[in-house]
Amino acid sequence: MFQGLLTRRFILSSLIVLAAVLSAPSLFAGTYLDSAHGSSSFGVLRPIIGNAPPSGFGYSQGNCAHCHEQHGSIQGSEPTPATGVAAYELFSQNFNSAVKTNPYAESDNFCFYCHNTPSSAQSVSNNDYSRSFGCAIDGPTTILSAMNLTSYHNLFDIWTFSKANFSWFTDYSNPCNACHNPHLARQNWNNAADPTFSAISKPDDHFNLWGTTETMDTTYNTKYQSPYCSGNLLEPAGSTDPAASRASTPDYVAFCTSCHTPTNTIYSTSLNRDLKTIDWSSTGDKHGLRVMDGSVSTKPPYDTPSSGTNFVLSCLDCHEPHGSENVMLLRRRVNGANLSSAITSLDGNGWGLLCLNCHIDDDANGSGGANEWEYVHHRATDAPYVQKQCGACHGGGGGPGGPGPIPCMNCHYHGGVANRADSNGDFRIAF
Amino acid sequence: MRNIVRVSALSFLLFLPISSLAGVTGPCVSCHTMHNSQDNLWVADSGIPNPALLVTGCVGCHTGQNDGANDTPFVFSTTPPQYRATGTEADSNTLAGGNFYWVNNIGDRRGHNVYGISAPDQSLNIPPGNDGTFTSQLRCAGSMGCHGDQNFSEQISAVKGSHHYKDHTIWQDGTSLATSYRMLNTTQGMGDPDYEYRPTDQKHNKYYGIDRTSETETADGSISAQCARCHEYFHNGPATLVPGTTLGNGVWLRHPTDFDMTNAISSTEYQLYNNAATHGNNIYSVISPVATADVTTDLNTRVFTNLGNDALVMCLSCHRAHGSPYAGSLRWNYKAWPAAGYNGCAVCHTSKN
Repeated sequence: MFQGLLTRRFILSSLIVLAAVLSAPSLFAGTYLDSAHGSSSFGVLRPIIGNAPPSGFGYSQGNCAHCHEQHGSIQGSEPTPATGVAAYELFSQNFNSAVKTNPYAESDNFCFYCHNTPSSAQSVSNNDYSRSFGCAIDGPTTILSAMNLTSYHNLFDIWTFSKANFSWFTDYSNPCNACHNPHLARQNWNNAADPTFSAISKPDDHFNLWGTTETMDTTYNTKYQSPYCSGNLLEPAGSTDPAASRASTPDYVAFCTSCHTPTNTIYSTSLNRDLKTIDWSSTGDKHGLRVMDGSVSTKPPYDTPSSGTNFVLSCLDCHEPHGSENVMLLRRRVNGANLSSAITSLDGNGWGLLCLNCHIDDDANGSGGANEWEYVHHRATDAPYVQKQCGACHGGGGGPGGPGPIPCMNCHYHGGVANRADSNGDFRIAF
Repeated sequence: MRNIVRVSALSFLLFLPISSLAGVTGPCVSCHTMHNSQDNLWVADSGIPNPALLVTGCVGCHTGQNDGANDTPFVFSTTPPQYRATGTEADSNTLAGGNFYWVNNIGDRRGHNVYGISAPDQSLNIPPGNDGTFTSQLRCAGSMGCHGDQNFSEQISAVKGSHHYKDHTIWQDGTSLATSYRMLNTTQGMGDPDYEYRPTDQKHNKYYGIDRTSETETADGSISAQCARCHEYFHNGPATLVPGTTLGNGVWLRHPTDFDMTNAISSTEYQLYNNAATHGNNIYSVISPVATADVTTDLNTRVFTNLGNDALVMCLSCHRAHGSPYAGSLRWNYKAWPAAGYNGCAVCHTSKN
């Protein structure tokens, strides 16, 4: 009898719950709720908005009010930071366009109120790409700290370029939004194997995520080989399966070349010059789709016959998206190995510290030291240059101990062409 | 005895075949007392005679629980009304303006702190968005109220006579108090005969709005202009738009009102208002309603029609004028979302669900 009573109570309770569910208007779980900002467990949380009264207003985590103040005030006054009404009903100005180069302060960019530590709102940790997907040890742990390193994606330049090129981008838009839609962006670092957790939106398709189905696999298939992360584990998710790894990697080439096209002129305030254009097509760079001239003396995993040798690289195989201790946003860890030291200058042979993580230098060949490149330039079976008249290229006529190296940047840069003819009389595409 | 008389009178009133298509009808005694005396007892609830010989005031008449049969709209209940998630559910019993129950029983910001219903707001001395000139407690009507003629300070005088001349069947053009929407003087619109008791897209108020072209345009006659009498900065600026932009292509500093979503160029998400599959002839939402510039008696059951100016954001798209169970007197529990609550914002912000 007692069991029967419980059963009846259970049925009655179930009916009440069912009635409540059926009587409530439908709720649609959609894109914002799927986003990192919209999560009720780890989404946006401005303390004064989210804390329980009396120290806060008690809004749910992930609620719009953490970023937006629909009336410029709550309960009659503006919550901290009280900076006055701001564009897009944000709690502070979106971007301070008066700041043209780093270092950036928190108040220069709305996103930095959280993507910063310590911060005025919610301290959010974001490791760099090398750490998140490349197995590096900790480097910069916030976006602001990455943006304040040696090289960085200049926010003013992004803002300027985006205003001129993307109709949705206004004078009051945030340059971060050129690549990220804050209402869509998902927590990719915590779900590296699943490309649907994309954090990026193409600037010419701002209202959709990019990379959820547009991966390096779908675009390039076996022409793309994910670099090593650590040991025989591959980026971005530490899988040993090349197919799974490239399927986990968004098509960063198409993403980055939304702006960095072969024809777009993009001025860099940081470099005080126009950026090199990027042509990743079959008539562009060899690191792109252009077929190589011969062997490239590569290291694993780019040396295995089964993988083919005309690989195309993803931009993020070499570059950080936000900022780096190296020049040109170069990653501090590439293809499963840390750079031996930071590359802080475009001059000299520092570039080689990056190259040797994938290409065979004299040390790997056993013929010389690290970051020496005589083998690939002169001694490999298909080396482009025979060793004669050293001074014609190296200057100074050579001398005891051999000629000094030519600065890498003389030839090896996006769009670079060798400034000397090879043994066949050709001026090789050198990147 | 006096109470018995009152109850009898009200009961009698409830069973009268009162037409909602015209002004108040029925026995005069239902509302008025000639001598404030019956069986040697006072009739007026306050003991002293009321203006217009009324037996009670605004609150007295409009207190009760709606059941769908009552002709007098009840906006204040002494026992908890049934609101549910949005106040539009099939078993809810509140009306378009919501109910003052919660501001009186739960606390501030769950409705307007109207004199005679609730105590003054404990922390707000002036209405948010006001320039500081409105300093007294809000009343139902008159110079310090929403309803009636603002030239009268006394509430009953402010609405005097208008109940008798109300005609719900015509467009309320705001040219007189009796022809003003819900006796909100000068406000246009058309009221649902049931005051949105369990509304549907086929049965609801028709709110009037104006597609403004500048942030300081007052949009006289619109429902939002009525709110702007006190909350002006939230409607007609300044500081609604960033400098140098206009309503059509502007960047908002505050949420727009009296603005047609058709003009929003920053996003196409509004085009799928109310979870529409395609843009055009979207079904009207009673959860997050919009105003229209159409002044005919045809009900706006669709939005983004070829009439144009029928997707106008208004204060009441988000708020209940009288009160709701939720913070900010919002129509849904925004504060608890997304952990719980309800996201009525997504009716317009369709990509933010």
